[in-house]
Amino acid sequence: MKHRFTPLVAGTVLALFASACSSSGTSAAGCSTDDLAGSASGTAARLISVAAAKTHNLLAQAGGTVKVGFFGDLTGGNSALVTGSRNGAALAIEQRNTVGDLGVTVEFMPIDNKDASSDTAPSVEQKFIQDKGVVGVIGGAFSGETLAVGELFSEAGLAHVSPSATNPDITTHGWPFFRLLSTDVVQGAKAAALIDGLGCEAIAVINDKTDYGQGLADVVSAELAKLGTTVALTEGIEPTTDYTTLVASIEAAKPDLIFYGGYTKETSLIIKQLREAGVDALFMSGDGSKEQVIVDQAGAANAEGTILTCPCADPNVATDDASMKFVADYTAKYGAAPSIYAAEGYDAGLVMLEAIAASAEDGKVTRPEIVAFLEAADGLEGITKSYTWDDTGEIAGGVIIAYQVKDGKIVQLGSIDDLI
Amino acid sequence: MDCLTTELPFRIAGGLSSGSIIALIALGYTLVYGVLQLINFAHSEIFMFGTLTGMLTLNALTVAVPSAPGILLLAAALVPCMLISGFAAVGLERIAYRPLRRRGAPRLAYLISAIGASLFMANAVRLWRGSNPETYPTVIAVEPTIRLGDIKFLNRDVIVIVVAIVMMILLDQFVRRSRVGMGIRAVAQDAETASLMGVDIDRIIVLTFFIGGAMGGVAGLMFGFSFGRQMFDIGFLPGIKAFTAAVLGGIGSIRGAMLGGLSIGLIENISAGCFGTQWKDVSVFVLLVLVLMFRPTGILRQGQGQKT
Repeated sequence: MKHRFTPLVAGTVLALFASACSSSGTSAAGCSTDDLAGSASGTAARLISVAAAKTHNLLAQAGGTVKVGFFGDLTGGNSALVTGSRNGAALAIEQRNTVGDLGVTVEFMPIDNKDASSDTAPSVEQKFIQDKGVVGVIGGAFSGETLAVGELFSEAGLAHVSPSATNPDITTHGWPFFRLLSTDVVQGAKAAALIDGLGCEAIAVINDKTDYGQGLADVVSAELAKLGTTVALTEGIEPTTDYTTLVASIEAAKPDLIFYGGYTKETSLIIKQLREAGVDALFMSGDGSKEQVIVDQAGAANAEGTILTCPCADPNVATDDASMKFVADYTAKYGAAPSIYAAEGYDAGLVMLEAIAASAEDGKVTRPEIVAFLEAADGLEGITKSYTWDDTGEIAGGVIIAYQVKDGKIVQLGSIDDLI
Repeated sequence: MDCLTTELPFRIAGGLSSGSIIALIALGYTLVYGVLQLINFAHSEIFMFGTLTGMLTLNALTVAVPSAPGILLLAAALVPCMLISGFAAVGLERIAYRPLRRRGAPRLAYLISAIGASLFMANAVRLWRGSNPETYPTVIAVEPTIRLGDIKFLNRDVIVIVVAIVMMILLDQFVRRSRVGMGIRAVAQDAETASLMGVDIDRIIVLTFFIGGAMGGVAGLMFGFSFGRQMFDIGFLPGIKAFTAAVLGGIGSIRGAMLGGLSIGLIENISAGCFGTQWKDVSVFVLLVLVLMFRPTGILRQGQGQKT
């Protein structure tokens, strides 16, 4: 077992001395990340080979097509967080169609829910529900839109899996929903633990008043309270462009660290305006901010040192065969490295394909069979983890990974459990 | 209120800076209302054209003359922003409002046309530039420059406030002293009589739209430069605030628009300090309601008939 405690203590002490001697007047000397070593690939990614290992009886079936839907903000302001999972799912489906052992052809049907609006999500869902060829849906990419349509899916008996929606509320309704990653309850708790581990004492917790952002921020606040850390400021903001009032309020509260629950579109502006006003406190956000776009829009100098948490691991730095193959295949097909949730999107495709394979054994792929398969799944192999869902649709365990912006790039530090 | 005085030093820079931008946009609403009694709801998109032009100009300039000082690049970008927004406003008048004027259409038709034009312009830009936010090039490293005790001004605050004040003074003097300005005031007071006096109403209206649009273009550049962002719908919220500012100050009054804009900027920021950021919009509208209850035509307008 690697001991990171000693370097942590030494690093914190050094950082305290360094900041006490620094000339910048505005930053609190409370905490810094100089001590976060992190391992290059430290993830809990499972190393299992993918569905190709499974064999099914090839049916004497007439063939035919079934559809797997996908919905999320594909073209709107936060699309950087969604296109990865869409691409990953499409890749998984394409690869399985090429193998051709399902007996049916699977057609991928992505629909754009622009800006992940909860108002437009139901009409997107109707398209899936009314199309009898759709046997399962991957979506929504965001929590708000998923919550808006869960009831509809439940009535239609249509299974939906999400590679990125993390709000814990989604699984409290008994919907045929299956989550492929940990919830914000876990992410918030780990984020708070990390904040505590860094030695930060006065925290400003800001959220964007969405289901995801506020949910995550509230968990962080509650966990910080349990750990005895002061929350110096709690604010819920309307997404806008001018954050002057927020920045001034944060400055007045003099926090050691600012935690923001929200999406990239706002995060980059907040970081930029904070740094321009001379607020040097550490900035931390969740998976909704973990994309290169925040560095590009905030400016690399401004974004430097930003900490991000995610229930996802970066497949680009993973060393297991499955991840490396995925990265190679993805880059070959899309001309760019997999972005956030691409690997989870791939897994979403895989579990859907497995469900279709099982359902196709009796000659006909039906929605109830897909739901039943996913409910009963035990150790279903994906490239990021293996999946066993409990009665509510959650997976057990789940690792939260910390990242940091260094030299203009988001670098994986490792699992938070390993870091603190 | 105790909170007012304790918060003011921290909030004054942000308040004046935001307020200046709102005031510049509000000028567009108030000028057009003065001559046409029409709320030009598409003005928020004229403002957005300003942010867009500013971004494109600065992108081109930073490539063409990378070593030029940022402040000069900004100054150079002012011209295309004013021109594009000004001409866009003129085009808007010709396409969306003049046909209605020719036909003596009811007020409602102008309103619907304005909203339609607003949607059209925003979505045209969306189709062209996409739905994702775009970033301004960094021409000036933003940092605090003036510190007097608790008061802190960023260099971008200073630039925005100075540019806005200069523009507002120029406009005010232009309307008060020039012939065209006199024509605008005449048409605002009584269009029919003005035409009897030899004022070309159509020309004055076109010029009014151009000037209002140009002010919106300046505001767009200042806004985009301040926050570094351009998006197709970036005009929506500032447009609403500016319209509120124009009404608060007295719709149709130029000085009212300036006063209203600065007031809203300051009130927003101070109330965010006193009550929390969630309450800043509430505070502004509560103030608006209170003012209108006791002065229905706004702070600087007196009575129904006079329009200056």
